[in-house]
Amino acid sequence: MDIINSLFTSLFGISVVFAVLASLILLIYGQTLVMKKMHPAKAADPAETKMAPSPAATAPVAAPAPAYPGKLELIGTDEKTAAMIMAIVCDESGIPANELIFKSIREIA
Amino acid sequence: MLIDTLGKLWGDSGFAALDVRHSIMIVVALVLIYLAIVKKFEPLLLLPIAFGMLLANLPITGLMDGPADGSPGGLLYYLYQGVKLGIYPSLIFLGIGAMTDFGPLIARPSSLLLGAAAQFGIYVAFTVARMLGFTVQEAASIGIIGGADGPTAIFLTTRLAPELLPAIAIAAYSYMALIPLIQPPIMRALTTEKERQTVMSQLRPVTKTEKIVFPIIVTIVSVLLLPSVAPLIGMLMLGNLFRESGVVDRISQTAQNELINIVTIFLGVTVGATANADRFLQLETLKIIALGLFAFIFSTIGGTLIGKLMYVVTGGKVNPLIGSAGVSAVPMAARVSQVEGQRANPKNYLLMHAMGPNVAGVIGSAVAAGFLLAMFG
Repeated sequence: MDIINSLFTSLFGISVVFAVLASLILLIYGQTLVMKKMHPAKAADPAETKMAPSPAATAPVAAPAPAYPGKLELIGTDEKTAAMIMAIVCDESGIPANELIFKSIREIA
Repeated sequence: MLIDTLGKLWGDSGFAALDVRHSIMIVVALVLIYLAIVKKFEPLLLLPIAFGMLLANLPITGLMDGPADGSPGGLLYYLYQGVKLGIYPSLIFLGIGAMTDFGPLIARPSSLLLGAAAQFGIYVAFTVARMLGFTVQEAASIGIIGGADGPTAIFLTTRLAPELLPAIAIAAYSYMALIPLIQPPIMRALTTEKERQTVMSQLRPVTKTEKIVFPIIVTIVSVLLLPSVAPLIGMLMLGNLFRESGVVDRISQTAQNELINIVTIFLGVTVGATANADRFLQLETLKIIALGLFAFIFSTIGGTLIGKLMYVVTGGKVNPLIGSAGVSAVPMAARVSQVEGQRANPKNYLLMHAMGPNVAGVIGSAVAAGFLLAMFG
């Protein structure tokens, strides 16, 4: 096998990897669609219903500050404290961090 | 009489049989033991590998000798059969599957593209290895180092070029340990400050049903498309199904703890024991180590470039730094993305976003290995 053939093999090889993984992407999207149709309420936001915030996190949930997806708003709280609160909520509730949504953390005292 | 006895004892001892090559290999083994214990370079595997190398290079032990002339054969010879037959890498994949949360990947399926792109280095190293005169089987085994996945590299090499196993295994695990040094300069060189500062939106929650269906779907589709990936993907997904099903907790715990630990010991010691002086002390070993680094660099480049493409396509919603996590060193590559993201923007939390490409990389490298096995096996 000469170098040109090796290059073609490489091109084909990376294409196969992309093709297999791209087909998995389609299947995951398909699976998600099916799940949403089967359990619309459940698929919408199971984490929020599961979330059992600690007293420290209760206040912002009761009186939510303006928040938008993907951003955690810190009101009167430094990042270190916020990270600690999030870790405590995860630990106490037994819910993995990737399944919890924190919208804002506000200092109440 | 006493002198004769002492002479015979000396003659039968390993000291009498020790030559320069053995001594060099023992020094290499000691250096690796130092790196594993003091520098903590992938110690879980490097330590048994290094000790296996030490054992195999102490002369006249016969640890790796097969049965012959009434002798039953050495201990490591029998343990090595698990490597030779591809049993250990597959069992390690079972444990990895039981430890892996595919949630971030299911939440953002496009992560799979990053996992695919980060296999780029495999094929670049394959082509360069061919240019350097390696056979296709050897080049494929060297290239797979770029997948940054030790068990996959060992699995493929035992099938295609077993004589290169020690050099490839040591290169793969050494570079995996060096990911925090190798990747950041490349990531910074390929991205702008603005791109690195991108804060990504929180991943959607993934239901338990999705997590249970995922390993089943991946197994069916991957194995039907590329049957040669069955041992790796099949075991990876079986382990993950154990974890996500929630009904076989004992088995899941065993797979991710006792089983993987036992297999890691056997795998490490026996792979190290294949590194005898005749095999290891060659110019080819240096070439393999250089090509392995080359493969890692290009895998990082591939992932980061597709990350940049996704940044553009999504209008700046994807931080390209997560692309480099597509190399499958879990979770170290994802941690590097997190660290680099926070360096650019202290409010950036990329870890969970990077875990998607990271676990996609495990699937990607297994698929790449399956392809190479199908082509050259």
